[in-house]
Amino acid sequence: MNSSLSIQPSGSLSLWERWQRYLRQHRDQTLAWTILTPILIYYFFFSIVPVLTNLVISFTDWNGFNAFHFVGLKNYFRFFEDKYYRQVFSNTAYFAVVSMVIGLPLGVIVALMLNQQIRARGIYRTLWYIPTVTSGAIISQMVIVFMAPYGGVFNLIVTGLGFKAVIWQTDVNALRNIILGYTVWKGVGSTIVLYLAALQGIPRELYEAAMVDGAGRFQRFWYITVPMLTNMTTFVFVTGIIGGFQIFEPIQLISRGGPFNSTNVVLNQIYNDAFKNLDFGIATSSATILALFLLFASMISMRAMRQGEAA
Amino acid sequence: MNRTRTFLYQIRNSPLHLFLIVTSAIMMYPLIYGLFASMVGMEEFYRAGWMPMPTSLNFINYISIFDPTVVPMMVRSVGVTLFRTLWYAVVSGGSALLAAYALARLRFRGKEFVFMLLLSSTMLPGIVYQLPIYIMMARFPLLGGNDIMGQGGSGMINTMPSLLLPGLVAPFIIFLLRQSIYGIPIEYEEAARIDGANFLQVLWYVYVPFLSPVFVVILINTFVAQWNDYLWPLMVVGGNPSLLPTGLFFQRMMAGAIPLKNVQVAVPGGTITNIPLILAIATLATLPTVLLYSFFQRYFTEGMQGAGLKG
Repeated sequence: MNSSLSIQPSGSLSLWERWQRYLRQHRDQTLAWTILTPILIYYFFFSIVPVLTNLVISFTDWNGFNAFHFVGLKNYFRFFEDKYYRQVFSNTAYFAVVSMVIGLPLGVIVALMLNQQIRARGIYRTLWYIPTVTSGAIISQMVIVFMAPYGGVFNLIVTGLGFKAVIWQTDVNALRNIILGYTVWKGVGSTIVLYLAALQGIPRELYEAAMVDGAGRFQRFWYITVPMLTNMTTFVFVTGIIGGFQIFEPIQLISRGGPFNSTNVVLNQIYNDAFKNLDFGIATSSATILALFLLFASMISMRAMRQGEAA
Repeated sequence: MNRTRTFLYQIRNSPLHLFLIVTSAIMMYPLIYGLFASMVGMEEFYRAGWMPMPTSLNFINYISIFDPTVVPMMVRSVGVTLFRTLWYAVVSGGSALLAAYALARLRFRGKEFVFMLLLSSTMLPGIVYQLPIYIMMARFPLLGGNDIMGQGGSGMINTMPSLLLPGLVAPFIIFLLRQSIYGIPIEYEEAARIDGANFLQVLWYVYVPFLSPVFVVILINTFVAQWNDYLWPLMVVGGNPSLLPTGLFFQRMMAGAIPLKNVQVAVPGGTITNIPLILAIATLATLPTVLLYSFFQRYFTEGMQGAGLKG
């Protein structure tokens, strides 16, 4: 590659030639930074500046249009002191955690089944993954139709099973369960695909060696499969929590946070604060709190899982 | 002999199949219900129970959707979505290929730092970027009626650039391609270089063919994401009916915000909602991503595994 480099005393070269020679000698460096500089400039303006802007606005009372005043940590105090925001946060945590508690074991069980040598497993896998590629907004709008008092399928099923018809829009528990059902339905497909990839990554030799040593079916599962899935469990758990705290479409469309704030979530409240209440201060400070919380939560769970692995 | 064994094998697996068939049916229920209900008339629908059975291929509701006043809007919405798909696939896919090549194959100082910097943005929730980028666009100087201080107008809001500018550097795609490039033996590149190929030729003739399954995954994922995109379009083009991407457009159509004939049907004593028609919209809006994913399902798992996404 450097065959074109003739050995010359550098003193006899012009500045341009010396520059050319430097570039040739540092080919990798030059090429890498030529590629990465525009990308990093874009990244600076669309990733780093926004995070900092978000932080600055969170210390103000800006309405998005006029002049603003710095109000210190007022917005942050409001988020933690106001009962309304505390409820919003605990609702979000409820949806994220409960849908994870249902969805993760379900995903593992189905992935284990689909990892067997059975017929048509590609079809099953496709069917379980299809909800993941549907639009949250369209499905939410569909759920609204299902909740219709007359002609809605939820009531048809409930009355068909012999129960009394439910007024879904005002029933807090029913709404919560619908939203949990939506979240699990839409999320379990990616859990399955990830676990299947993890299962297929376990070397066959491990099972063969264990069989030679006389390990039974259950022992093989417990001492090989489970430990080999630990990393994936951490990954699924962390990404699931991060995703679960950002639930938006079903809340905004199905329940609108109601009744009486009982299903409201952080992202919906941020959207309402910014675009309906025109309070960008509280919206951006809520976003900062959400971001810090998720960073903290994922770090804690990664550490906990790592310690569990070492123990 | 062989036949007996296959038979026994199937018997042994039949509880597994039974479970998978039942659970897959439950997963598919909302979509199948939507599809079937969309192909029956109103009367039939209100008489049917939890699963309306279309007696013939009845496209009356789809004919209502393809109304001459609605079709131009729908075509526009699909056009906006396809343009966004192409734009994001080409720009973020192309920039990610260059960045991934630099981060996988070139030797330069600060490589790990750049990689971690790019990847770190995936740790934070999207809203931390969305609110400030919204503000940056709304208050962009001298655009959309804004003065030099960015006041007075609406900047890029409700215009096409706001749908095309954010998220062009996609850290996850960079990560995916970098992992895939690691899996390609470097000897291919060296052989091409000895034959005199330059950097771009190496990328195009050596790496792109190897990476084509990954690119299929990226393209389909981009399409699915753009087709279903909701929150960002709601923020930036929610006020411009001619720029609604499909997720927002079909959601609004289902919610009744886009005038459609036969949505409300007069009955003695008032009007009732034509639920089959609304479910026809949902089915139409869901079908493209579901079909595309089902056809290219094979690529998904291959692309994921090629990227070393294992536990």
